[in-house]
Amino acid sequence: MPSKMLTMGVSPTTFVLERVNAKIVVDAITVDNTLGAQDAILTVQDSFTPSASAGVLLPVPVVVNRLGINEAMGGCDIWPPVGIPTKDLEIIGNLLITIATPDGGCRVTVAYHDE
Amino acid sequence: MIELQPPVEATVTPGVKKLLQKDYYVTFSPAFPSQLKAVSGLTFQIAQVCVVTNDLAYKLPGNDYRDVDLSNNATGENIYPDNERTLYEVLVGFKPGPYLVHLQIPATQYVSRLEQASMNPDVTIARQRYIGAKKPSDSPYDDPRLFFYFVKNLDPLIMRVFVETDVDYAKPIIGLTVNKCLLSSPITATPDIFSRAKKIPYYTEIRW
Repeated sequence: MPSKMLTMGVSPTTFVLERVNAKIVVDAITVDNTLGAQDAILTVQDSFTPSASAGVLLPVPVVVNRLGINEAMGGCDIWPPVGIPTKDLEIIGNLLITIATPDGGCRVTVAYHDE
Repeated sequence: MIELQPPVEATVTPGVKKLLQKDYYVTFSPAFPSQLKAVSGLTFQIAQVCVVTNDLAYKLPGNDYRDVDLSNNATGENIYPDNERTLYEVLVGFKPGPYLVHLQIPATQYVSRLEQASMNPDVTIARQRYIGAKKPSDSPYDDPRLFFYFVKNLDPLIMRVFVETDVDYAKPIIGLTVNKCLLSSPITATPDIFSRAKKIPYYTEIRW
């Protein structure tokens, strides 16, 4: 199970690029805001260009919000919360995370696998 | 020509190979039309096999579909052989997801339908959406049970991939295992060979 830790100094930050023949399933997201300068308001996004379909012959790129996480300044938490079974968080394109106010002190770690 | 094999209820030892193997026999139905006379009604021994895998994936919006043409047409996925002496045995498996697949051959002619006139598959009508539909669990990616048999110039087989209504987007991922079978010159089938040969019916025979 790979994982990647990045700081949220820019928004959005790309965590995982799409794999053409698989979905990205997020196992856990850790938000370490102990060094953050303010509360971190994060959104996990799925960015991709759909395939042509009967209803949309010429699709355009889309971004879908998949999960919202608010982490208080000084806090450090993991999603899903400890003791709660993992929910499938599936990403079919690129996995991005945005932050309301870019903050290099906010560190985010994403653990995931392909499926 | 199209088979959906049920899950096994018993096992045998030694196991039976899932794919056609070298030296196996195949017999094509006489119902194959004249443009497929290279195989129509003939029996062959398989001289050589080679397995090639491939994946097809599409990102589709909910309540929408895409017609995936497996033939070598300009808009097709090119999963048909180019030589008359080649048979492609194609195993199709689906990764899990909120989608279903209808089979058509040729386009607009569904493989699975019931006899009453309104009981044709139609993904745009909720009541008819599931008639004959193949779900990912019917042929899992890691244990495919859906078999196609393709020869050169066969009519295009279309997979209508429909994404369910309760999702924004889904990514149907279709795994293909193409067993390329090189056919020998036609042979005269003795009763013994005929009884052992893999029978390949024409699609008009399985849609009755």
